[in-house]
Amino acid sequence: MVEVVGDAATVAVLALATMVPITLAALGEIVSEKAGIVNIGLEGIMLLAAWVAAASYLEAGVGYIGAYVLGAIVGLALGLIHGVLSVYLKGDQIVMGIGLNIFAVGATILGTYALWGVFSNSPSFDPMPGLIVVSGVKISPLVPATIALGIVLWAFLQKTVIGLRLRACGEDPRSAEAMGVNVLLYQVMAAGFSGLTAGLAGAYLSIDYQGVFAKNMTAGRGFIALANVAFSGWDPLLALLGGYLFGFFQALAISLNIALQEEALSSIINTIPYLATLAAVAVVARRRVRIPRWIGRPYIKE
Amino acid sequence: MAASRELLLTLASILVGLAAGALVLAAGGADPLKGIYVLLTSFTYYPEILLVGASITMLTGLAFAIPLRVGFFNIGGEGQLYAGAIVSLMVSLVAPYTPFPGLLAGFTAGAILGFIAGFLRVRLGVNEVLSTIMLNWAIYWTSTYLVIDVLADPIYPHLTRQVPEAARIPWIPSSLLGPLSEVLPGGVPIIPFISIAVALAAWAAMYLTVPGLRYRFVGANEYAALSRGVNVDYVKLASMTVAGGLSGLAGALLILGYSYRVDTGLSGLAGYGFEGIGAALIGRNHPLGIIAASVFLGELAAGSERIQVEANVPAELAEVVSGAIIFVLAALSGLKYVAPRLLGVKSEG
Amino acid sequence: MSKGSRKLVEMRGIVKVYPDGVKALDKVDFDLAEGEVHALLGENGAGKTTLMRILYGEIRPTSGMIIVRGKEARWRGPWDAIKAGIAMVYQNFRLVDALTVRENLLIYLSSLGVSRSEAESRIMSVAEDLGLSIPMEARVEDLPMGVRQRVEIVKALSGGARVLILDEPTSNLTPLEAEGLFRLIEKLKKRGVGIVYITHKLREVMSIADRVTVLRKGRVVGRSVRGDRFFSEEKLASLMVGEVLAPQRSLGEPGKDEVLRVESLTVESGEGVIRVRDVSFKVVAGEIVGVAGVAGNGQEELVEAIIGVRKPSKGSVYVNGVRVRSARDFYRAGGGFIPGDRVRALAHELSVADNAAFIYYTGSRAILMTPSRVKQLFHRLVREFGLKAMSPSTPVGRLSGGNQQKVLVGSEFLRGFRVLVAVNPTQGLDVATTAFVRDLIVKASREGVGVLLVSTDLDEVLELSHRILVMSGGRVVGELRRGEASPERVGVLMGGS
Repeated sequence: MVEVVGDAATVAVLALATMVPITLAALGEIVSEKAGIVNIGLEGIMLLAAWVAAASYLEAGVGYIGAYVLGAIVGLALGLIHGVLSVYLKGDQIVMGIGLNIFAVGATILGTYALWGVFSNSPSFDPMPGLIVVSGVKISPLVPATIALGIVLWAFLQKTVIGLRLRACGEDPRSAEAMGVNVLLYQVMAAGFSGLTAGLAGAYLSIDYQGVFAKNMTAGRGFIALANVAFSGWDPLLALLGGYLFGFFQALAISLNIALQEEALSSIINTIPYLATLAAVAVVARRRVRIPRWIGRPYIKE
Repeated sequence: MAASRELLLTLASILVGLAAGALVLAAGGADPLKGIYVLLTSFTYYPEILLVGASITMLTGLAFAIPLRVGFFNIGGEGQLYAGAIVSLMVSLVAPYTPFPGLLAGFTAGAILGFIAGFLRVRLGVNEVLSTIMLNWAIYWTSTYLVIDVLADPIYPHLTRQVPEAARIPWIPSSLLGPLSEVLPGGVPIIPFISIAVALAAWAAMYLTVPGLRYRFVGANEYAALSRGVNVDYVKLASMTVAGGLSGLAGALLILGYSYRVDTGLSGLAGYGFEGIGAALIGRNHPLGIIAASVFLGELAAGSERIQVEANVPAELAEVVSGAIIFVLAALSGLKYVAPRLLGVKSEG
Repeated sequence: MSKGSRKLVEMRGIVKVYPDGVKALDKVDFDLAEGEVHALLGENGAGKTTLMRILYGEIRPTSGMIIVRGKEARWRGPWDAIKAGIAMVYQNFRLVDALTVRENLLIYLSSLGVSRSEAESRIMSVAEDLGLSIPMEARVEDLPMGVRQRVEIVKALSGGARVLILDEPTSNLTPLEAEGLFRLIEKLKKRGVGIVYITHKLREVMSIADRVTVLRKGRVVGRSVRGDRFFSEEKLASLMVGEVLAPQRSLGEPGKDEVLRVESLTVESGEGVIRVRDVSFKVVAGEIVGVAGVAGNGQEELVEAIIGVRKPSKGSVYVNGVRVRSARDFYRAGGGFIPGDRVRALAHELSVADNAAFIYYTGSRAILMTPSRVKQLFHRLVREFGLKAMSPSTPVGRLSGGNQQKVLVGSEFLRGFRVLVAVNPTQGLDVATTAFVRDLIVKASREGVGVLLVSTDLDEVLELSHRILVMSGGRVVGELRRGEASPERVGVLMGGS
């Protein structure tokens, strides 16, 4: 990781780097949940994509871009599988996600061992160079890309007819169908998109943010992304804000640990992002949010 | 759904899960068939892993299954178990006389975590998957802090101090085992019996009591329960609290009855909470099914340990297999809507 | 044909048999001309909606023919019908509540290949032509039902509909909104739109229909054109209800003690629509009070408020003098309940024994439930109530409707009560079981139980009740004593809006 000085400005900039995976994955998941499909397996998809990106960068020489593409493809494929099984087989969306998460932890450790002969992590490598370096923090091209994606998705969902049709699927699939929307197709596509962004988020973690694959390196980020979805009230613009907020807590924990150099205390500091996330979600839960009404339920045609 | 068909579906999912394991083995260059065989038949090599693994998974399995019946996903088994383990260890150091205070404290610690998640859901509408995962990580780091800073052994700093002898749950010595003593030279831990007793008690509470019947109705037909005067929110909150308590108890049993200490990476505790999810789903959320499923997963753990030692494949193979089984079970769970005939479900006109 | 104008659609010999053998429609003919209102009159379950869902392409007929503008039509789904100019407006509107009116209309029209700007101008011109103001930016869920219905109609017309099927269009409307609808229908007629008006309300037929076809149990039992000798409330009521036998059963003599009192009860639905409006009555020991009415006139909400499941917005309920604030209060005060909907009352995946025990232990403080006691309960159901089930562990969902009802009713009777609220207690049962359940209710009343019998089956209410309250639009619109109640009188009261 980058050298960091523990001052406020650095934390604010570092938060741009830490916000990327939780925001990207949340943006895709917003689209998916707006269409009615929940994917609790974001964590697992991110982890698998992180491993694939690192492995292909290190072992196949595909370069950073190639690694990103492969990570995204893995995510897309897993998202589509989740979508097809949810939509056509009416599989249990939550439990499939849980299974995927458990599978991913085991599979990436096995993969790590198979490729590099150790249980814990891949060899370190130089992470992808950034656009610029601010206060000692590298700014990846994915930072502006994520922000841009948030804006584009907001416009897509709010301003286009296709976005409108997609939202109708997650609100009331029966009425949507009655108004001529191909609900099942929209849902599969949306689930695929969510997988794609989670794949990019995972690839970012290994080849761009850290320059290594380490076991369990997602460390709950997939779930923080889900927290961000709820926090944002399914609004991509607010998800940018939420992503920055949750990223800020992570950046704060990192900076505090580096500044204090206290091994024992560092564990307590590490709880900050999780507890802050939970608190933030609990606080906004009181607010009346427009949850897509048909979320996570199989739509069974009459 | 007919019970025999459910069993068939479960077996099919297990087969697919094992196939996924075989695939991973093959990808890693090992002989897949031999690997699966070893995975399923190694209990004689590592009987303790099977016994301990099964008894812990049984409880975390119940901890997932009990709230699931009323529609809650308790993914917090992992954190609840850590809390139970660390708290029971601390209590045993403070009160080193019998295991009971530690067991009680472990249960309570887990129950509090379960209650928090349940309360956040019932009263504030915070999704329990989210809250339990966030709590898992918060507890993980808090436990790490306690292990390193408060409980560290002065001689082995990567380990905690040990549970004092008097506060441990005793083992049955091998001298009492007769012909089995050769397989189990170290004797038999008592914790499997405790876990089975708890599972049977859970079964009895569910099936032989009126509150248990009401609880099952909340899950099966919430409106019917409501219209018959059942306090549905209370039932949901109670089931999350009990579930957390059972995971906490699992952690306490693990510490007081088997490992007596924790390492700084918490590796001796990790994974049981998630294994429990597998046990619950394979066991179809039924306490007796969970007993059987836990034994199966305990065998997977023993088998993957042996594969790690002999074939140098990480023991996480077990997670690959159980994750795949869970995934397939979930994917097939909608068949009742898609192909009711196949499952023998009577269609309503 | 009333005006000799062009036929828009014609249905010939429509038969619909469901896979379980139930014949929903039997050789039904129907047609509709430009600029007319053709009412389709009948009780619940008469087949009105099924017939129109066939015209709309949602259900395939078993046999029969649909002819649109002279050509036979074969629908693969509703979209074929919509493209042919046929649109249906359901009681529960097919609008996405969380989206705005504009968004809903855009989705619908984009499915028809209409561009965004074209859609906007079509909506404007339809609304302008009909003189309707449509709040385009409002979310559907924030709109009153009357406005939602207008949105549905504008949606249909801007999509090119010439045939408009309105399914019980006034069921969710206030009287004022209903009048607005009638004015709108007049305008649509002038523009040549043909309207099928599905209803059970005689008064509405009288005020709006040009023609009426009466359905009963899937058959056409009468047709009438405005002005002919059948076009009267009394004639149509007897056609719709059919021959009802006068009550024959002898009832016991009601006692004096009041066991159930409902005081100016007003109940709202989740959306804030008033479902029960200021209803008061009491039931004394040994008395059976029937509540008659077409389904959906507030009976369900009334019952839920009485048993304590739904909080009334005004008024109160007393059982044996105890104020009911929760379902537990109701049962502990001596209340008994036979719900109308077995699907919502039983847990289908759980066993017969579990379901029976659950009902039997309602409100009980008992903890232990030994298998032997449950088995005993099961055997009493078999012995005393004629339950036919393979074993106590059979899932209740596998039983026939009649046996499910025996589990429900039997367990409740074994539990015991002083006040019984029974909703459609014989719905879907065979003749023998029906008689059995009715005997039980009468026997209970002879033993001093006060019964509130809510039923959409007029025969049943007439046969069993000392007194009959008729509900319509959430109000009690009439009260008849046993001697004075006749099918015609109740029918006319039921049909009034």
